[in-house]
Amino acid sequence: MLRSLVTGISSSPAPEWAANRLLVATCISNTQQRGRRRTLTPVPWLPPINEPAHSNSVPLNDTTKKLLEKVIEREGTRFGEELDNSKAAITDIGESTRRVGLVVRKIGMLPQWTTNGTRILCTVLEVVENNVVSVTSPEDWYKMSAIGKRKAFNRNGPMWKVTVGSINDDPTKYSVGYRRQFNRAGIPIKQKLGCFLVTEDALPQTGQSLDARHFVVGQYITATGKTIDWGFQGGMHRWGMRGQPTRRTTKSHRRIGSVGSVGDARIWPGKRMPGHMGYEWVTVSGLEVIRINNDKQVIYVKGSVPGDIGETILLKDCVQEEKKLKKGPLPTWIPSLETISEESEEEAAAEGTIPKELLHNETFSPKIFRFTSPSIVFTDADAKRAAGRDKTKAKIAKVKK
Amino acid sequence: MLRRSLGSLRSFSSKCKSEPQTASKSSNTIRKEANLVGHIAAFPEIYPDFLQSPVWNRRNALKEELERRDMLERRMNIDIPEFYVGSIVAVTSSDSNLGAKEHRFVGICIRREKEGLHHQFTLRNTIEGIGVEIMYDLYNPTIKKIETLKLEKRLDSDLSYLIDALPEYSTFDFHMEPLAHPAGTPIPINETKVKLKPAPWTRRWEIFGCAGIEDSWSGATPWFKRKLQKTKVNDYEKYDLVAAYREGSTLEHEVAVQKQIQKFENERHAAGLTRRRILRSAAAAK
Amino acid sequence: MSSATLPRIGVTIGHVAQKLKTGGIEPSRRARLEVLRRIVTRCVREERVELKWNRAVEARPYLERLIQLGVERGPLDEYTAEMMEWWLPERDLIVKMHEVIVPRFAEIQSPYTSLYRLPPKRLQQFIQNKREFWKRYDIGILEIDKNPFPPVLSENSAKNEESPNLLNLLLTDALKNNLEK
Repeated sequence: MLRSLVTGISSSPAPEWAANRLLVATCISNTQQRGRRRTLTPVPWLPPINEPAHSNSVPLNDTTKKLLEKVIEREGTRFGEELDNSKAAITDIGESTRRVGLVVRKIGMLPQWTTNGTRILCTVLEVVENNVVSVTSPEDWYKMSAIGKRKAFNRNGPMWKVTVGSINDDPTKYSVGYRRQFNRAGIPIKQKLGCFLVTEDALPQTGQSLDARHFVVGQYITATGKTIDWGFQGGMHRWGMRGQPTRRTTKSHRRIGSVGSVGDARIWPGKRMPGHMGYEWVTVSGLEVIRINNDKQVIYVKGSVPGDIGETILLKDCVQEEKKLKKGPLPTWIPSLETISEESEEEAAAEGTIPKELLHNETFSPKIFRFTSPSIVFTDADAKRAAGRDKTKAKIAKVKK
Repeated sequence: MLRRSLGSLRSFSSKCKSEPQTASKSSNTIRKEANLVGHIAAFPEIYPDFLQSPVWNRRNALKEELERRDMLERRMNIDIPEFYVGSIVAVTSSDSNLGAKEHRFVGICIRREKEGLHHQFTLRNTIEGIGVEIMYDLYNPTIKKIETLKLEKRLDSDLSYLIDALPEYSTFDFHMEPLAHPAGTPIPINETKVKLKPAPWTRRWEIFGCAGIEDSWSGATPWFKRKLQKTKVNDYEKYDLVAAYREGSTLEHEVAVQKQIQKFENERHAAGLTRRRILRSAAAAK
Repeated sequence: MSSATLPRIGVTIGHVAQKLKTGGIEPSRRARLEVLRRIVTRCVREERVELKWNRAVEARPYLERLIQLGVERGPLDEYTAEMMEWWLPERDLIVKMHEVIVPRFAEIQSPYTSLYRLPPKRLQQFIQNKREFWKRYDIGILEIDKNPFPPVLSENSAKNEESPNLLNLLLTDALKNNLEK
């Protein structure tokens, strides 16, 4: 209703959000390069950054604002339709199956300890109100995009494009075209969007909400995001060069030094030099999920992910052969799947003395130390086995007789 | 048509925009709340690990809450006593590669840094004439026991200069008997002034203005004295009120944390799990 | 009580200190503080000052914190006395601060100051070869609250009730229709 209202006010129907998107073709070359080619643009199947509404600066008076809030609230109550979830199950995941991912927010880094006392620095990622915005068939999305058929029909079969939105937001901030896609899916307006290529056997439904338990503790994931924008930086910061001595040299302490040889008197392409550092689209794969807080929808991931705190990051399953997810919720986790993990809860209730209602509902990797348990005490079995020769004794050659 | 008229309106409104940020009329409630909770005045000193990060970008309410839950759970399993920089502390930690499977170290606490689960403290002692400093993570689960052998403060909040002081200032007996602090009395301040070894030092202590160093200026070599003339002495920086505010703690945060700790304690006591108390202050105890 | 932690100030501060143009002083962190000190001193004396917008934004938290120190800790506190002495180099202003300004806010929560935006002003910079150089500045008003001057905003404008906008009327009607359905 609101949508039609605002459409009526604007002079011309706003263009479809997908129509005015800027597409950039990436040419992938396999030739080896020195240095690194900076990837500034995300993959082309990602949705464009939303455009804000133009009517934002119109000075609405207080009564109008209150009425508008009321209408928006009433529109909001229509969300949350029942979806048919009979297909979802925790099953074996095939070799060529690709599941959806999550759009998460990095909220900080925390240390955790393993049961043998090793410190692990983890990234804490929050899954905020994730919903599937749209599911597009391979024929449809590759024709709208500049990257051609090869991405949509690759060796894993036809890849559907699933758009996921996160973080509910005030609808008055956005343009009609942007809001339309959410109205179609029957979900609240989302602040951030991300896209994933998904095979047909793992397709979620439009409007479905995604949970942090979509990922399984112990599995490996791939994180993608924009790195911190450092601006123009010198060779020492950007490439980790050593610099030059602090003494006995003038005006060249942090300079890069020689850039070439005499023979071919030119600078080779790709020579590492000062320049813009960061603000790149970077993917890091092979990060282990070690802990999930189901109540607060927070995922603890071992290691670091690209981007600053507060940035949006795309998480998906790792595709490397040995780090692939073998068994997990397909197409995604739904509340009815919770009963399956009951046995582990019973165990916890039997051994732990702390009542469950005092703790968050959390899943830990078995190698992670839980803060509810007492301090670590080692036994003789934990001592490191001497890997070779006993180095406290002198090396004496064995004489063969 | 309407959109065009809107555009003209916008340009008109931007010509004279006033975004008033006016003073508040509400009464001061946070003081009352602090009194109600029984706010510990020395909170930042007793619980430096419960403060917020001085980097504002790293402050996130949800992350801090989860972090604090972990910290409190750990504090339910191990007694972390009150100690300050300058106190003499003994730490017993498990080590899988030692015959006894545990290791006890006694030393003076020379540093407490970082917030949350990252919190670290450093102990220093001289063993057979060699200075030893061990940095412990406060929330490392291999720590079995932390004891405060002598509760006192020094003149500085960072005793890193002990590394350049004569070894007698950082020599402590491993078999030292714990000295009980009489409850309800203020924490004693040890006004020892240490003598530094002759220069060169690891850092230029004379420009830090440490109160606990005896006459660092006369110990400095002429070369460094001359250099001080060229060095900027940023003594005016202490007047930067907002810089101090940016890095310091706020009453709102401390009251909120104290409430969370009290709630946690009460829940655990009610469930009959433990009788351990996390929130206490030796100076304010009755 | 005196050394206890202070509450937040009710003013947003940036994550880093902003650079300010320092006029005759050689630009440095010290010069920035000098500029801010002049503004704070002037503000305590005059209670309502007109400034460049960026300077007003930057000076407001300093003024706010200074008043808060007076309110929370009083004139006998060592740190407060030191700060007052540096920020208000004129002696009578310290007296004014403790006896006139601080008592106004005894039971009131921060912020104690207000900041308003004025329309930008063109000011003449300098004249070179008979050419005049002008520059546009955003202007703000920084004031200590409860001052004796008439209020900056009239009561009507504070309410935002009567907007002469056609869109408001149309939208209000449309929304009312929508709610009735």
